Amino acid sequence: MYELLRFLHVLSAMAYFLFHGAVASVTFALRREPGPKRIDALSAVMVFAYAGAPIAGVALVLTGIVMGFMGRWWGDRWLWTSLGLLLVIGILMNRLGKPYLTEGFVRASNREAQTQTPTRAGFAGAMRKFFFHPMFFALTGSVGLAVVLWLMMFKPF
Amino acid sequence: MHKWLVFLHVLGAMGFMLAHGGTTAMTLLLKRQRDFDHMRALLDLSRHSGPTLGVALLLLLGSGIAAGFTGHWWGEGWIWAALAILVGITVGMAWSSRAHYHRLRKLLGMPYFEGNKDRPALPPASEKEISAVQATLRPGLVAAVGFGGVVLIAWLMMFKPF
Repeated sequence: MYELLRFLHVLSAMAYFLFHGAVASVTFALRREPGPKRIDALSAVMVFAYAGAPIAGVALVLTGIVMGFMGRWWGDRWLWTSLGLLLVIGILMNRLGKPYLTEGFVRASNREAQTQTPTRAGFAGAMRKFFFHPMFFALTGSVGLAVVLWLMMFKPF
Repeated sequence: MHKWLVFLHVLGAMGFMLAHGGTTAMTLLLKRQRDFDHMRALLDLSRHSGPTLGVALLLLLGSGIAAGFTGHWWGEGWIWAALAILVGITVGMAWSSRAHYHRLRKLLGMPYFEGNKDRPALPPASEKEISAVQATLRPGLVAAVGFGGVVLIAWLMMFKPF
């Protein structure tokens, strides 16, 4: 039973990454896809990804929770650390990723907005440039998930 | 050492799936597109993930082969079956990509790949020609073979049945 759950946990993780990868590819494409028509196609990709990712995400979390009970791991710190880390990544992606995508879609589909949006100068501008870059999201997500995977596989504490 | 190799193997699989997301979306959405600009955007989405996909696949294969040695698994049937399925899927996907997606790129007036060479864009073909190639797309079959193969490989690796 436990082995089967672990198998389902891995499969749902793979499906989740597949759907999330579609979102990631759109965040990069938004920087190079001009024109409203092309943006419509990217919107369709987002609809596809947002339809599948939550299902895979729920399956991933549920199988993980049940496995935590079966393996008697809820008293171990690695499990709480990985859950905390997932929560932090989720909040960060949600707080920064959503405005990035919204702004990206508006700017890319409206040529006037592209020329009228003022560029912020100084520290605020530099911070915005850093956090509003798809590479920031890609690195935060990848490194964070690598640490979560390490915690799950090595169970260090 | 062996545990680290397995960790890198799983990490490579995660990266591979993430990098494959754009291509999966393109595969599933391309057939129902009627606007050529939409089709071009979807085909481009897939093309840009190529380098990341290559790196992830190398990590996946390299760590998997090394873990096969450290785990003394090369004498077992499941590892060869998993490798054969991976090669089969890769060949099948590459064929499908050339037969359908690069052909569509060519007809849509985009840079394409043919005869082992990158080719520059040609003038777009007629709507009839493009629709004819689009009609040959089988997104459900490609998705079933791709994800079904991955499920089978994961089952072989985790349960090591033979």
